[in-house]
Amino acid sequence: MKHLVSLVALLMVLVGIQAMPVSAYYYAGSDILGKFVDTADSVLNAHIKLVAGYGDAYLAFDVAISGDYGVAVGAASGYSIKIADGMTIVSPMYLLKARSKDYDGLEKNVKYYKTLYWKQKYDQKTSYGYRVVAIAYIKVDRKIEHALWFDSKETVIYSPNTDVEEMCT
Amino acid sequence: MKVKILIVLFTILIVSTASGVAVGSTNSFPQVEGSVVVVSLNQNGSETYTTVPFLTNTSGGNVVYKGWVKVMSFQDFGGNVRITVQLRFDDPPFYLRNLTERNLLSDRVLNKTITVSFLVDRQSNTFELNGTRVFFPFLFPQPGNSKPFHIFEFLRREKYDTVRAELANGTGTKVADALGLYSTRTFKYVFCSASIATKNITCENPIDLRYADVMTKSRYVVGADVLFPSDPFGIYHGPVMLSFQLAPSEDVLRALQEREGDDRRIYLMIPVLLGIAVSGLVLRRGKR
Repeated sequence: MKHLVSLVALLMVLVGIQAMPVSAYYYAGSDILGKFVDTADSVLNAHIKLVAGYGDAYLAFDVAISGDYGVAVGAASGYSIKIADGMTIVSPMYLLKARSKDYDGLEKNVKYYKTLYWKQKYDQKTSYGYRVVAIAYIKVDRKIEHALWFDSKETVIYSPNTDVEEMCT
Repeated sequence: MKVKILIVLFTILIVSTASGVAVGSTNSFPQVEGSVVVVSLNQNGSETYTTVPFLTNTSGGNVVYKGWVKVMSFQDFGGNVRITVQLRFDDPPFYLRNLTERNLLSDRVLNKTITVSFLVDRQSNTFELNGTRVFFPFLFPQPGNSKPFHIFEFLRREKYDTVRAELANGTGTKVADALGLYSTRTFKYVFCSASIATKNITCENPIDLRYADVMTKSRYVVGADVLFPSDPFGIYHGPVMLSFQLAPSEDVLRALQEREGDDRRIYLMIPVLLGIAVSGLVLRRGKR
């Protein structure tokens, strides 16, 4: 009987611990704009780079992802961005979608949504050419749709007044 | 004996889970500073706003001014608080002069700093602008038990587990349990600017933006992007989109990184507590 009690209790503990997302969603990422590496998710590396240029200044932001669990990445599925004469068309769809499984062993959808728009573009003639000043709004949200437990939403990049890098040419 | 050990383990688990609970904050008003970017707009149609392009002999772009905001004083009148804010302009003088000479911005922008007072209603976190109530974007004095409002609607609340935010000065931080406030209604934002290199005005495709999109944590506004029917600083004569980005300080960073009590992990303790109850019950029976 005592063994049975211990077994039941142990099982309950295991169930409890397993359901805790504290360990499951442990997140380690780099702070570099547009680049983050999930060590817990089987999405091993998601590098988002989107190119939107203004004069010699540009924003870099494209999509590359790798992972070891059926990374049906559909990289940038439903996502489109076109750059022609400085025009940027921003898609309202999510940036990328990945199917992931991590320490809790449960499969889930991981979706990255992005928002990007310009706030300022300014260029000025100088003795050495043109000086470019540009400010953009950038936000990338990661939504985890959990099969069993709560969905969670994280903002992996939030940079509302980004000075766009100026490239010297 | 085994069960006792398990109970001790459970207790440790509960304590470690609950340790994330936030400690109460002080009642003094938070010292707030941050950067602002004010984008001038023209209204075209009931829900379409276009940025204002300009072209001079030596430069081109869209009308924007930038600055640094500092909350100077905070007078409590019960339901209302008078918040005095100092704005220091950051743009180079020749840039601003180009715009004032064309009557695109008021001459007041040529002063190094201006001071403006806002009478903010605690309940809705709004002040009056052009006969309408608009959201106060620099501080959120009463986060709990309030109904934040902007122009024509109460703002929706959305909790974020984690936000990796960039603060003014480029400092990156992790904000735990951030609270997003946003309006459900959107307007069409059309970005138009002129370029001296091409001497052309180009406009991009319209995108939908929310009238108010604010990220908060306790009483701090981490970042806000709010459309105002007119410029709250009185520098531009028309509607503006004002963006605020909080500056880091020791107090700010501590508050942003603090976990709050309303933690969903607490629900996950249910199976664990159930486990304790069942094993306790069975143990008592076994003893008999």
